[in-house]
Amino acid sequence: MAAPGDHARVGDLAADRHRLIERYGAPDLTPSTAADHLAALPRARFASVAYRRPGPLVQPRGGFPSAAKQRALTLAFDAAGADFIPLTVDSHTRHNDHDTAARLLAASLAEGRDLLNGYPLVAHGVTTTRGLFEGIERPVSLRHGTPDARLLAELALASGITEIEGGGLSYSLPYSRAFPVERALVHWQYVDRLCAEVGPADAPVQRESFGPLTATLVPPVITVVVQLCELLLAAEQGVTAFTVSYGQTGSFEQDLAIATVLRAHAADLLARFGFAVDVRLAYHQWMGAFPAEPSLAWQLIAVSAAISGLVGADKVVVKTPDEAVGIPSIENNAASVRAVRYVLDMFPACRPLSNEVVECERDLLDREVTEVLTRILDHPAPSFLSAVHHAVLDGVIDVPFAPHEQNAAALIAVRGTGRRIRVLEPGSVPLSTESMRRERELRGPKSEDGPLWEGLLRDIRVLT
Amino acid sequence: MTTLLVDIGSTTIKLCEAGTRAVRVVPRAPGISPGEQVLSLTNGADRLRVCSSANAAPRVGVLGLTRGHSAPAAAAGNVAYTHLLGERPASPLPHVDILVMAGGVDGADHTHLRTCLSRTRLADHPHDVLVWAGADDPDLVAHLPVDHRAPNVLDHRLRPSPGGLSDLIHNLHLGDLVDHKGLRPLAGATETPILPTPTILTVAAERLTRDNFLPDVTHPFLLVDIGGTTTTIHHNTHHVFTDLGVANPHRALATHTGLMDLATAIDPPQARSLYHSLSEGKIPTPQTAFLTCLYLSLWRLTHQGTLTPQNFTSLLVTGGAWQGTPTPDILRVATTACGLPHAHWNLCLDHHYEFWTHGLTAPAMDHQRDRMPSP
Repeated sequence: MAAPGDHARVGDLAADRHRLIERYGAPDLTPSTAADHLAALPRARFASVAYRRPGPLVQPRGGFPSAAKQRALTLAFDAAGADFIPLTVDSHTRHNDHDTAARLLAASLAEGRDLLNGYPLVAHGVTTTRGLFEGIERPVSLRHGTPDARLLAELALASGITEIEGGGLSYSLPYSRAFPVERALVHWQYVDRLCAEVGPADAPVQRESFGPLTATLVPPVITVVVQLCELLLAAEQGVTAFTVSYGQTGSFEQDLAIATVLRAHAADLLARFGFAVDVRLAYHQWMGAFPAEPSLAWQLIAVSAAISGLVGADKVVVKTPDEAVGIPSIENNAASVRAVRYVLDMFPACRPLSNEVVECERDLLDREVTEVLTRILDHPAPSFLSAVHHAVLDGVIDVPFAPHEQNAAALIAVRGTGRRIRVLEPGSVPLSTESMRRERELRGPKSEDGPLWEGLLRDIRVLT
Repeated sequence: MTTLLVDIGSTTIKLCEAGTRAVRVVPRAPGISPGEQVLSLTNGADRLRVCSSANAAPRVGVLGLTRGHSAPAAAAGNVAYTHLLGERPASPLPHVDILVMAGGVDGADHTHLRTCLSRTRLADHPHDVLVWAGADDPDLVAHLPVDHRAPNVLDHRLRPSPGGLSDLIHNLHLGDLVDHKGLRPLAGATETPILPTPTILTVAAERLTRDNFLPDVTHPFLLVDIGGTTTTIHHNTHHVFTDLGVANPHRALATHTGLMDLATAIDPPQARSLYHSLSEGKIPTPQTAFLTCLYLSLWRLTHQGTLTPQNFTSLLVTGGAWQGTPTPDILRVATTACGLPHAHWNLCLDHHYEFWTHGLTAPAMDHQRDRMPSP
């Protein structure tokens, strides 16, 4: 059995860090830069401290190429009352193509237009990035999508960013075609261990997984299993503050069920393997295809803000009405923060709801998660990391519509009764006969109006 | 009467006088054919018996509709490249001994396949022999100078069916050994036909089962022979891995999907550091190269379902590559590769190449299988 445990902890991170930082070769980054800077940072800048307040806390997204525009966005978010300030990184940096990012940054500045879809953190470096957050008394969260985020994490932490999103699964399967999953898992061990080592004891660095994955008909069982695997992999490396997350499914009942099951399994697993981790829950507003009409987009943002309160999320990651069109403006981003805050204030201290449908979804999801996790944990692999890797190769973890070559892409999900996501074909995901029987029952009558791909397309565009 | 036993490898030549344990290992000399070098080393021996593992398989290029089915079948050869039918190569391709073309399902509509075939320029794929291993419709390749046909690598239920192509490549190799591997100078000098080393290992395995000439080996046993450029495993029949030798495991490393498991098996305390080295194609020591070949060959057979490691009681390692590797490491790597980390195998190391000498000194009739023309 591949039991997670402290024995898997990266033993000598110092040597790895030294090599990486030396290769990067920036004078303002040494192996002690991050720890020294974080130790001196006001505690209000730490995500793990912010989470001590009741939620849902509000977290927007946003990244621009130039430091000036990113600073303007940061100030706008601060003024709008965002609880977390984002730093979203551009695509070239995500794939460690720093030369291209630097070239396009220079061209952006020269031409006065944005040629990058985010902030090129590696190109800007530590000193410039620290300047973005001067005078800001809120935690900053790094949002990217990088399979190998070692250097990015080093620079982010040294810049005073106290929450690092991602993981070996959630930032490789949906974001990369060919980066080997095993390598991503190994590199994320580095990031997890780094986060565990450099944060102050009273304000640990927060790690966060990315639950929405492809945000396209991902059945709840896959979402929850990926979150739990990344939680355990981080716990192995000594991370003590971790956020599990998921995206709005399009079904209120499934959203409620996921929150319950994810929290329960997280607590069970951590206790079972002897880890002490403060686990938080983030809820991503609708990550699928967005309505292009602003009035509809605002309704969607408002409803999903309400759901984040009703599922008891600790944090809600907000969308903007620009989603269907392109990269949101500073003004639209700030307006979204205010709108979500306005809705959340209507639900003060709300408690999670339940009813028969939610309980039915919860019971099925609970069983499915147990079935898949049991298969992973029972794998005769030499480590939990290896068991997770094999789970991907064997199709036990299978993310619909993921572009990655190592993803099995054999699981097919559709929307059934109540727009709930149902597993139509499990592929190699080890769902029992009983679970699949329930999936069929809950799917309801089979649609006869066209081929499967037409139905899938309809389901993908369900909220557009 | 003295009989000299000779094994011609890719990097060394092994010589031993029959009836003794005095094995000499001589590096291959540059600028001289293996046959000529062997003749210079015989020292007036009365009789010669020779086997060859040098470049133990022909170089094969594969053209298919997908990259998925014909390449594994062609692994009986040394697969130089796999490309899609109808796609122009971005850069010039190397000359191969055998070009395998495959595609289509027997009885299906071949419109797409015909289009791809018509776009394929054989001049872009220099080769000696052209093999068709696709759909059985004879019209499909009527316009191509096909030398051999093998059964379709996909059966009618779309399952991989590589056996026919694999056998054909193996037989083409046997017929090709003498002329292409520089052994012509040995024509008439050998007592028995020159055979591929894997065949000699098969003969020795049969003799071991019958005569038990290595008393420490318990039955049933698993035999592994790791050389400079190939690894052979004997399990019912022999399996030759032409990309796995201590001199060249880099291509195999680049395509293996579980390097962390491999690193953990080879060096548990330093697994992470070894993982990074292996990821960059760096093999720190000769022992690491040996253990890498051992792991990958056993892993492949286990995962293909062609090896049932639960049934073995002994692991017999022959060849010279293992020397200097601690026996616990060999056992740990072998059992981990087979998914049986707690297996209690009896490890036997063939210190004096006795396995090879028994195979080569076997009566000539034992060599009849896989027979090839005498030079």
